[in-house]
Amino acid sequence: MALPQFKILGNPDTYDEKTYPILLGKAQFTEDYLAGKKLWGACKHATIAHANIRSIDASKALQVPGIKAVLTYEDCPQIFSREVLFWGQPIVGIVADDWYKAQRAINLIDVDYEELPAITDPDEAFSKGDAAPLSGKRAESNIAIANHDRGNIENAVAQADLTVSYDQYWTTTHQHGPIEQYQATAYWLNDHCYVYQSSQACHGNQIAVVNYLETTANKVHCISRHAGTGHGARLSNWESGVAAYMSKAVNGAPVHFKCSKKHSMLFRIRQHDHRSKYTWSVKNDGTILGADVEYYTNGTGAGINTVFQHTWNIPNVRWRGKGAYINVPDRGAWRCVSDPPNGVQVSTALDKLAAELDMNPYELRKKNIMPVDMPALDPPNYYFAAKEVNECFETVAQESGYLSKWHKPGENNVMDDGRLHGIGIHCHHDSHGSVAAASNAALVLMKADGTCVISVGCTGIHNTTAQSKHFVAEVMGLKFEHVSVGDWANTDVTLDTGRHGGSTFTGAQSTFVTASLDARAKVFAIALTKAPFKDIAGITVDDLDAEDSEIFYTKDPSQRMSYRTAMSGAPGIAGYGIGWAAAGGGHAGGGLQRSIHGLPVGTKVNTTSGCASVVEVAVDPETGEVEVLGHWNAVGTGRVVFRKGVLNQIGSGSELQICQALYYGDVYDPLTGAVISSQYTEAQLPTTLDCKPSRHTLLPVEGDDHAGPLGAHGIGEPCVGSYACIMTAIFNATGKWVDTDHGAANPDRVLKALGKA
Amino acid sequence: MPEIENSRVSRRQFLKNAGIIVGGTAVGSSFILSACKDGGEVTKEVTKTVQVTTVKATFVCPICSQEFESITALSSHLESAHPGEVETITKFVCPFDNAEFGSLSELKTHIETAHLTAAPLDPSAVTLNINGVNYLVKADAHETLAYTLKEQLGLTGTKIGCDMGQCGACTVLADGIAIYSCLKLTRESEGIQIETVEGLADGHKLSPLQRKFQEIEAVQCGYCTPGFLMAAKGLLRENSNPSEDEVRLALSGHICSCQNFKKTIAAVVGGV
Repeated sequence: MALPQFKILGNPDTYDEKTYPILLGKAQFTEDYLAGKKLWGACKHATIAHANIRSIDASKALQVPGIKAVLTYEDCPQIFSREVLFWGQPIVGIVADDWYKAQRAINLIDVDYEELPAITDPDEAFSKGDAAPLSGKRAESNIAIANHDRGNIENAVAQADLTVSYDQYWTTTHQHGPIEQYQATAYWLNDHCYVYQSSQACHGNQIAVVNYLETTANKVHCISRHAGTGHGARLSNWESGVAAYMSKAVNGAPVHFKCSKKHSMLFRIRQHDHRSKYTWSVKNDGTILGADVEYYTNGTGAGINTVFQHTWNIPNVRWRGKGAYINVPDRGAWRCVSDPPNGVQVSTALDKLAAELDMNPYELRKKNIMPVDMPALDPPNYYFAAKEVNECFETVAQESGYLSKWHKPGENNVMDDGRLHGIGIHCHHDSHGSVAAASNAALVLMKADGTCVISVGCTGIHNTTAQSKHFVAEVMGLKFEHVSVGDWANTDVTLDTGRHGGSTFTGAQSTFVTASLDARAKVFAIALTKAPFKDIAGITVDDLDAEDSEIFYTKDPSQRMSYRTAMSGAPGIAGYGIGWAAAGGGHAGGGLQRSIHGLPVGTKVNTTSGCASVVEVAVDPETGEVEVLGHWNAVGTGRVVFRKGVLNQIGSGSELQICQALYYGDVYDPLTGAVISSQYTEAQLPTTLDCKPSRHTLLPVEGDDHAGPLGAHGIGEPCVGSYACIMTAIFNATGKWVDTDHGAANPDRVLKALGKA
Repeated sequence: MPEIENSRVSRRQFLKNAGIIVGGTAVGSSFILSACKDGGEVTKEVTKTVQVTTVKATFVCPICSQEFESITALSSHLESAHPGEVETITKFVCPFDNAEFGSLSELKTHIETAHLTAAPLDPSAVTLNINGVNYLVKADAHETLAYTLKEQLGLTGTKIGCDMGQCGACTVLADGIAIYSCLKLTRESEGIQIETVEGLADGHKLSPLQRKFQEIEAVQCGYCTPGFLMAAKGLLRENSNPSEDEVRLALSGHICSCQNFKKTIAAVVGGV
């Protein structure tokens, strides 16, 4: 697709200036602030799945020299609950003058529990229903219902040539295991609280702390410049609340609260685990008339999902979703949220159907994928400003040579070395990749020297700072190096640009586009008062444009001046702008920015990213080991903004999903619900030995999102489908489905599927 | 890197005011300076040495070069062997806390009561060589090098991801070998040349390795980056042109939860 050429957007040579302090060792993460000048806080964690706390005896701990304070549910009930809902829940906080003392003192705190009935198995919750003991996480029932209907499923069954049901296994669940431990530092000056936390959403963090402290926003100051990954889980603000209360307990002295690695792995939210039963009503040629879906999740995410809803042209759907809220650590946002397990569920069901119909999975998908110009099949039936999944699907199939490599499951699959070859394909329309999302406003400041300073509300974790620079430089017509980021993720100085997440959500940066247009108009107005423009009769700001930090007259480009000249002698210029959302919402000027599908500007539309993946594997039938021979990931990027960042995201997200498929998986004690895999090695986080860069092909599919600024939208975390592909590739290799049982397709499980264990 | 002084006494001040000889290093008046053991050489050492380190003191008579193990012994010798020959010193300054006294005996008493328990024989006093600079710190027995680097020396580039030797974020070089500083006790780090990420660049000028990381954008969140940089530096010292497999093996002690391995490996393969 031919796209308009931009000078800055998509330029392969641009960079993220935040990498500079990181490389120097100067970037300050939460643990780096106030080095040597803070007290330390730690938590004691519950060792029971469900209980009420009768009493807490901290007398022995308080006798340890250096222990400053102990906090319980009596001090801050919104931080520490009296009811224990899962093994590992933090229940007591302790403040000491060093980290080692805090850790030692924790073990001296005695907790008396009134044990309550616990339920730790989601299947037990589903089978017993209201007869199961209440976990305490929901008032009346452990099960949350999420139903959805489209068309008439009974008609679909009646019209189908075949109706067939397939059960899918539980996908994996695991704590993200971010390399930076969950921590926050807080101190007080009078009634103002200052908090440092490595949060994805600095301004969101501020709001949460305001609520914890029951104070006002002008008295809570948050900084979250850097964060050591932990996508999704870094939206938690709980650590900030803990640190704030701990500091308050010691008269406002700085307290650095840290969850140890072990404890972080115990209780922080983990990826949803899903299972499902898909009943397809289908014609003999593979046309799917209906899908009757029973969808089960451990925790949230049971409702109909974008991966299914916006990818497949299925006119009749009955979706019955059930989420179990039981006495295990909470499930929730994780990198890519629930799109990976959603993808596994639907893709495995599709591949089972393909095998039933003796069809190539590619052909089955191609027959049923939604056309580009089809609106959503569910209300509000929005069209899609950029439906890239179709192009991604064809791209990845072609680049991988899928059709020439595919064979029937378990047939013609033996490689020269005796291993079994398999290949899987997947595509989906993701829930990420939106326009603007929670971006609210931005400021662009032009200085007297003609350079520009911006401040960005979001942490730099997702290249948000770089993304913002790109838009400002492009719209203003400035050289990339003439735009600098003054500060980011500092609620005192940054507007609420990108409150929720980073560039993955706000990659479109519509706020900075509007702010830049405002600043540009103001500078151009000043430029008109200076030579050579002032001598041109009838010239207006609309006759000016800019490039490479020079403003020029469009009708005679030789008439030009530098931004420096324009700004010389002028007061600083501030451009202000608010963002828009594709579906409108609370932002003005939302919806389509340019017409598409015959729809006028301003029409509300869907705008999220699409993706497709192919994975090729070799399965060792003797050991059960699965080697990824190659993976291809095509991601609909919209207009590429920061090219290096995009490639980074696609590459790393894809590897992450392979790890989800093959390595990750919490290990629980079935009796207590306790997480046993509380360390990196137990959680099987991969290393460089598990990653072969040469096997990975990144395929950004650049598009033009007509609702996004300059055609851009976010790319999610990213949107990839490697996890789903691994599972179907193993099936293609062996002819067997691996029961992952809340875990990974590790050698033991593969051998079991092969009947060898 | 900023120098961290022992008890806030600068070397310049100590030289100017003190009238005693400590650790074989000459301080005080030019007379004493010239009379000290290896006088001229001592002067050079004094201008180079950052810290006053008092481990074992040797007190040298400036007149006859006889050596004594204590101020008391030197003082007695001066009075008995060289009466009237030593320039009168009227001010005696403690090298630890700059306190001033009118006589050597008063200074001696002060040192014995205020500092001897904390100074030379204190096992918690550790001299660390970090990026070529000596630092004197006090560390408890259980304190790790990672903690000391960050909390005492303000060298926060080294990260503590797990504190149990699993993630590699705390990697530094110890005599050129990559180690987990979270597993290295500070008290066991004396006499070792420690290199951290702060020592890679030349001021604000990135090293070739850092530049390559930047150009390839081998950084996402950046938390693991210092650890990877140090491990990579250690590898490249031994092997300036490593293959992909060699790089993968050398960096296998590191977690990157962003999963940015592809770029990180690419930044090291082939050297710089």
